[in-house]
Amino acid sequence: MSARHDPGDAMTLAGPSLTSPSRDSMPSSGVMRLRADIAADDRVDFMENAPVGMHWLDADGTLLWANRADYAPLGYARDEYVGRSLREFHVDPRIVDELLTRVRAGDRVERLPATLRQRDGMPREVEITASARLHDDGRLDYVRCFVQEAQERAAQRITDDRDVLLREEQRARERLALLARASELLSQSFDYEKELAEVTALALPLLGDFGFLELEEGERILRFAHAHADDALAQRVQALAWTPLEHLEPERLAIGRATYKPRVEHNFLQQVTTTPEQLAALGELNIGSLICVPLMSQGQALGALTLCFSSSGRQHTEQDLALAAELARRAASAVVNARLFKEARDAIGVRDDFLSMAGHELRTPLTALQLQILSITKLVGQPDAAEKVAQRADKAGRNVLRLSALVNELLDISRISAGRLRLERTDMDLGDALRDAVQRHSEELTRAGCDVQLRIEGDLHGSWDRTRVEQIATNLLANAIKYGKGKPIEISAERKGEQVLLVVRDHGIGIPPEDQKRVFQRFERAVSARHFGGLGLGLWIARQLVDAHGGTIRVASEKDQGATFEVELPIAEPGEAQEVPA
Amino acid sequence: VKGSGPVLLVEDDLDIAEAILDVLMDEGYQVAHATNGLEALDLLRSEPKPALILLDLMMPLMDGPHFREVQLADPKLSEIPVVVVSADRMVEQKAHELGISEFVTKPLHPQELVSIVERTTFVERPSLIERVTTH
Repeated sequence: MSARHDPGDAMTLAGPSLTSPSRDSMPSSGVMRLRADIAADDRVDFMENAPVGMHWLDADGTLLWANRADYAPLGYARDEYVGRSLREFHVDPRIVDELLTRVRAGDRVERLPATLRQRDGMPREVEITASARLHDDGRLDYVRCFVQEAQERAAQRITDDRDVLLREEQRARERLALLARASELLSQSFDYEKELAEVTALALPLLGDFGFLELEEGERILRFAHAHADDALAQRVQALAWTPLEHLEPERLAIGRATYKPRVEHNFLQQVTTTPEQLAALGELNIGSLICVPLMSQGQALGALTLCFSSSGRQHTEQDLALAAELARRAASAVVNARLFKEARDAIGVRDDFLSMAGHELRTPLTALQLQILSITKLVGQPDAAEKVAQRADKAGRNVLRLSALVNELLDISRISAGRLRLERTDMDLGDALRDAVQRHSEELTRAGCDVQLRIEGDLHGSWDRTRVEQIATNLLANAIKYGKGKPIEISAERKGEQVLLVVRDHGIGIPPEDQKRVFQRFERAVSARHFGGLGLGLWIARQLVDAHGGTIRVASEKDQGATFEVELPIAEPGEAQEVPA
Repeated sequence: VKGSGPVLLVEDDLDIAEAILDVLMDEGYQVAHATNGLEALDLLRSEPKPALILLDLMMPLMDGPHFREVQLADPKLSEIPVVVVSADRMVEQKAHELGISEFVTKPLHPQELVSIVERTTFVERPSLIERVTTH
């Protein structure tokens, strides 16, 4: 039995030439006519891309031509394969001789099991189907071989592939479920500390044997550690004196880059620790694989999620990294939302407190006023009441002033907040303004038992808004009276280059350093509103007015040591007329 | 001088205190004034027992509730009737929590103040008839 088909032009195009077979015996059939219509290069392409390995051998077993499915699975390029003896590629070269012997005898070889050696040394189990083309005189011309992967192996591979796919699908499902559950958890409330702890637990064991999420909260770093089925380990991780936010390439985290170490080695631990204690503590955790992803918000790292495999011996994959990053994104967004919500709520709370305090402050002079007016009404017409009426009217007038001062304060707040404050600068003397302010407060100073020492040095003229500068002086003086009852107050003003320096010093309860920033803020005062009258906005307004003049205000104080307020005002207007920012 | 003793006003705001003092003194009451709970305790322990205490709630050093606590713990003082005078919107509830049933709300009407002082000091005031007939 011999094949008489003509391999055609393929030989001349794609490999060493075969001895051209005689065309005399070719039957002239329809198939042959069709063949002539098919371009030679397409025939080559057709064979080249066949899904089964194909090659021709000459009578010595040398490879004359092979297609991609033949050489590529072995890891060779065509040039490295064709032209060599097929024996070089068989684990047992004798199989080639057996094959040649059988086809020479006119046998067709069907699915002969053989083992090829891949370029990387690994065996490849195949089945070879071969037939020979003989010369007319019966000599072997060449052999045609089909090479297929052994069927059992192929079946096994399909099973393996299916298992891999199933496992991957299972993991993909777990990842999706994890993300869905995390989103659900993170949107439950604004209690993000509880939620972050739960999300960390949720990521295990899929993404680690243990893990911890760290969050910067003001000056502190909060940590939520969890270990899969190992509470003792979780406690050790919670107590770990090592934090990725400070030690693990913090500059990477800060710009939003993850750390991905599927193989954690000792020198990595050395790099990321600063003390032998840290190194020992990390070493004891036996970390084999680590992922650390930052929680980013507006280009800033709020914290980081760290996930480690240890006892399970597993390694993280890039998919794990992507999942951890997505988890961190969702956690970060939950934190940002919760913080914004809290800020808004606190701001509303502060405003409510302010409104209730303002209501109380307004009601106090109103109460006195109402009593005075009604008692005056009662006195009118009574004999010898004229003097009493005059006294009461005087007191009532004082309460009207007190009310109107409060109302002005409220109006100033709204004006400054809305950016509607405009300065009307004139040439004025700060010394005069200070003397006036002290004069206006003389009765209040007497009542509060405060002596005032006023020291004015040199020329204190400048271009300022007279009303507003008086207001600065008044507010600082009122503050000194309010918090320094019964103690002397010193006021001094002097020229310092292109500035004047105004100092108001009381000897009252003082302001602890931690509160000194707050006293200039709106709706803030360092001590409880209950004990001191006023809206508590005098210092905030003073600061806004000083700012508007291009000056600075600061306070130096210790608790129970009184407070010293220093204002520096440039004597000339800096640049163009300006508005006060809210 | 009316009543079985003076009225003690405990109020930190000087303007309000002055106005209340004026109103009550116009009515013939003798009034002592303390600006906070501590001052009030000093007065209670050194001066004759008042017939009534008018108590503000929010005050520095010792506020109304704290003062009330100390007052109730002292058998010499616990029997003195107290009227809460406050701008607090929850004044009724707060007074109740302190075991006080009488209260006036700021801003207050002088007549309201006077009648509650009269009512509270009524039992111990022998000159009521005389006073009514003079009007």
